[in-house]
Amino acid sequence: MPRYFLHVRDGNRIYRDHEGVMLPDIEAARAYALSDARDLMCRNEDVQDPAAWEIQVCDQTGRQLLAVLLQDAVRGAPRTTGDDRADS
Amino acid sequence: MEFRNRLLAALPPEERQLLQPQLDPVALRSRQVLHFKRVPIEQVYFVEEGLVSVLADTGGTEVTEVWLIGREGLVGLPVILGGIATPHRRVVQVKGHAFRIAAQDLRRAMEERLLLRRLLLRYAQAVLIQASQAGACANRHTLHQRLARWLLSAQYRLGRDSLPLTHALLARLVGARRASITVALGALETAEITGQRRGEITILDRDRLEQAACNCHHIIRTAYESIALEEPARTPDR
Repeated sequence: MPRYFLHVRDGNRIYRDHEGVMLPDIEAARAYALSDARDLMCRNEDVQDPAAWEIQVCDQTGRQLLAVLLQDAVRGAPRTTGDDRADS
Repeated sequence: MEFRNRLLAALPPEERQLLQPQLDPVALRSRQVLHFKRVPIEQVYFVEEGLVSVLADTGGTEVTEVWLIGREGLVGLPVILGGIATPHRRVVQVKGHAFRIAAQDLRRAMEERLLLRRLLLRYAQAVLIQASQAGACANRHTLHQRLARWLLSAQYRLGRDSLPLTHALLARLVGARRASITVALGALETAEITGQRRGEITILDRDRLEQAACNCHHIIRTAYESIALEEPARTPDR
């Protein structure tokens, strides 16, 4: 299984992932990044403005394979408070 | 002999001498499994150096750390309490060494030696306080508070400021995703509370890390510190 590295970027700085994580393929890496992004949005008080944050998924050579925006991740998250969509 | 293990060090000299012939010095290798789940525990380890984590099943193949054991304690609490096996696995996270004793020898020694029995039961009491406090903490406190608490906990158990802990391990302890730990550690690093090199986190400013942690750290630490407090001044009946 390949090892993927998920660096977090907030516009000003990058939080580097030196450990990486073994996952079967790029789709699994995307799902992993989305879960990370949701956790950052929900629980991390460092995230003030989600629009400025993204998670970059890189391979072992440091090449960026994809990026997940924190604000995109929230759309896939189950809502725990009122739904603001107009369902009429 | 000098012991770094706080339980062995807290024993009165004559109790320690009686136990000593049954203690085997052993190395703790990284990733070594000391106790498998649901297998009778045959050996108990008094940790001198290193860190052992207790892992609980959380569904499917998922496991998560529930607490850490270092030189403040022993690996094999169920033996103290009369249990045979445990649903939890115990794995070495940071290599080191320990004194190993056969479970049956420790059981016999506890039956015969009142002060040893009292000491180990006070240890069990501290672990119970820790486990219940940690449950409350997980429900109530922020990721930053809990991360600070676990870093202080690891420092106390390892007895040093440089902690060879992965973000993955801290994520399981805190109950967060790895990215959240990486970002929170980045914030602590910016504030010069901790420093980081690959695979190692160093506590630079312990006072400020304590301020960043919830009070659970003090409650748990006080429970462990009171284990070694002096016995009531009277001749123990053996």
